[in-house]
Amino acid sequence: MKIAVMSCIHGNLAALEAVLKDIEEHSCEQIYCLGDLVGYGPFPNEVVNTIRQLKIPTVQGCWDEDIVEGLNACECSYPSLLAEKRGILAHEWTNNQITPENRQYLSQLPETLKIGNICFVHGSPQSNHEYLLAEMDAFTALERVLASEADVLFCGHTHIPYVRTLDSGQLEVKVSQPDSENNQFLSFTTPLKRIINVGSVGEPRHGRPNATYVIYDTFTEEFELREVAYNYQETCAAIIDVGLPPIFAWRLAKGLEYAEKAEDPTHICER
Amino acid sequence: MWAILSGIEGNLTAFQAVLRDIQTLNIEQLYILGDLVGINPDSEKVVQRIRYPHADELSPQVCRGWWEEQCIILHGLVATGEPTELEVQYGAETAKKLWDSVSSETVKWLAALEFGFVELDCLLIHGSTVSVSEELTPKTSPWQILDRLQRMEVNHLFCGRSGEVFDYELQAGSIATTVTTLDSQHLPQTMTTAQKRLIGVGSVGRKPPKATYTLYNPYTNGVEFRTVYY
Amino acid sequence: MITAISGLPGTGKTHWIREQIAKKSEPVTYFSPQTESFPIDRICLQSEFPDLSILSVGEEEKLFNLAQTNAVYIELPWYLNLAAIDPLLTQLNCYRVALISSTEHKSEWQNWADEMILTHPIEGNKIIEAFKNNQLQIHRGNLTGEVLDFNSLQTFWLELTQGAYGEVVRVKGIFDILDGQYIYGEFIENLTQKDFQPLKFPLCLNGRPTRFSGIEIVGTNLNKQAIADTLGDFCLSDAEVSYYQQQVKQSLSDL
Repeated sequence: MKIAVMSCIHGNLAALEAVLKDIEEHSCEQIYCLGDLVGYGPFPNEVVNTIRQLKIPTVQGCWDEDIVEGLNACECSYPSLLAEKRGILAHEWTNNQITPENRQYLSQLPETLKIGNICFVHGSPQSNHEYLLAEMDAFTALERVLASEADVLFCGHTHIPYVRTLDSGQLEVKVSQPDSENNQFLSFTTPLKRIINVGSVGEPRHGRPNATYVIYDTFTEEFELREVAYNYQETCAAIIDVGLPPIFAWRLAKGLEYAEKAEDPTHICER
Repeated sequence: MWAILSGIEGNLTAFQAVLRDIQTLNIEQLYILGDLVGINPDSEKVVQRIRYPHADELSPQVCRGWWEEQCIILHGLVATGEPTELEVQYGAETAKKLWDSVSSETVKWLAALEFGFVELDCLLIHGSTVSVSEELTPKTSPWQILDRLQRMEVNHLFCGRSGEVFDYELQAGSIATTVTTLDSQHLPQTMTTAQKRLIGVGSVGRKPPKATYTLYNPYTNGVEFRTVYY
Repeated sequence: MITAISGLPGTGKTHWIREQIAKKSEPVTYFSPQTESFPIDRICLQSEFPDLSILSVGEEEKLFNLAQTNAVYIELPWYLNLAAIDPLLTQLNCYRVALISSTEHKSEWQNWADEMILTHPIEGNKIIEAFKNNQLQIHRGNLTGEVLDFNSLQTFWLELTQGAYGEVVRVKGIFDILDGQYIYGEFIENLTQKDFQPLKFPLCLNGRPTRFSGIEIVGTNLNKQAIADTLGDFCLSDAEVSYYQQQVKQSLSDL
């Protein structure tokens, strides 16, 4: 079965519509969404309405969670003071716009979805704030897939798409315990695992303004990273019109490469 | 030589037996990896014994354990979801007992304890780098163990949550990885990992009449488990 | 000898002076008119040459005598009116050096300079055209007393130099950042960009800094309000300043 997986729409309706059209042209049988429907962009309700109407199975992103729970992200999840101030502005604006029904919809989104050997998360299986970056340590990456108890882990949150294969994992272990006379020697192997980061529909950071998502064939295990051009100026103009910080429009137009990330991207706040 | 203890759980008799055993050895550093207190009327005395060591005893380095965490939550010093782990695992009756066995002055002292220590190439912690509740044992997924060690960039991790004594060595590891992005496909790379070690330091007071704890020689990397009956 | 140096922004005037000072065995004096309230170049030179003597505005009459014993460099910022300062340079019998980019017309400087030095080319004629048409704007933000969040500064710097606040051809700045360091950053359009450099001055760990810090941006269509607002968004509060200072002191005492 051919599926399309997208993430991080961030209130960018024009981008979402372009991606949906592209998905239709590629005759995918099912669409999944990895959250962050809102935040940064000017059309949070329109985006949520579209996802709801199309009944697209969706997991909760960190922005969706914050709109429901109130902004409880700890400062460590912001890479800088500037990012924090801008994040709060976008949060407050979105919080004022979102309708009660859409807030209710966001509140009931699950943190993970599991379909067969595929797991869908926003950030990582442990937290929707964790960044699974392409350059992450391979053993750490494998541990995240194993923690999801799946063979293929779909994620978003970083806004830069990639597919990473993790193969022939091997660990040799020796265990000694005073209760047992002999040392135990154990050997562990893992079969092929994949992390597929689907990038971002509405706020790309791969260096171009185009929307990105992924098409995956569950039978052949083939994947395709899709990049869809659309009229991003329309969204940029709307960002400024509705009174969101103009820098968001500029960043969208640049598809600005990931300029900053938390110092320890795997850091999970326990607050 | 370091002596590393955990899981006293308010068992004063067991703790004093271990302290006597330590006195017979040449110990430079004493670590207590949490669970000083527990459902035991002597909990308060154990804390006093740790805070005010005798003149000829080492002053221990103490970090927070699962039971300390429960005390702190119980006394409202940290916010958490309902119901608490304490209620789920032990019931409301136990929460009441814990409240009675530890004074609020002591809870304030417990709340100020560190989560763990990084010394040389070692992390000393009650649970794991993820949480104070996480139990690492030889049955834990080795990939998870490797991840917990990597999170603090250390090659030795001493922990106490399970109460078990074990020396778990990750001797070798490798993995092949390929990354495809929109603009490029990187060639497969094989990554390897250095030797790493997870040590369960045992439990002083959880399994009467047997107390277990761990000795570690940071110069030779030697680990020795001690058992004291009381 | 007294040498006067002129040239458009980003041609490398301070850099050229730095190279000369490094070669000199005699004492060196530096003077730069109309930069007193914004002494970025002077602080950079002092960081590298602690013995450098500095002359202030109003002390010009000392220049002639100093020139007997010292090598004297007068750095003329690009926005200075050369005609207005010409009598002084003539009176002092200065040796005049113009730093020009290869794309510039030499004839512009031929009458003024004793020596013309070709430095790295400045992108297109954008900067020169803008300069001639008087479109080149300069925006200065004095940040003295402020301590900045470094990660935010990096983000802002990237946005600024990539055109988020107008077309920028040259930026230089000196900043006090949260770990107590005093750092220098510069940007010249179309050149490989360098990382921020720590200046060789003591860490500021006791309250707000009193030394100069600030940013100077040269370009066209600069959105000065947005620049000022964004800078303001990552200046630390008193509580944050003292928190980070305590952290640094703690980690220094642990060493």
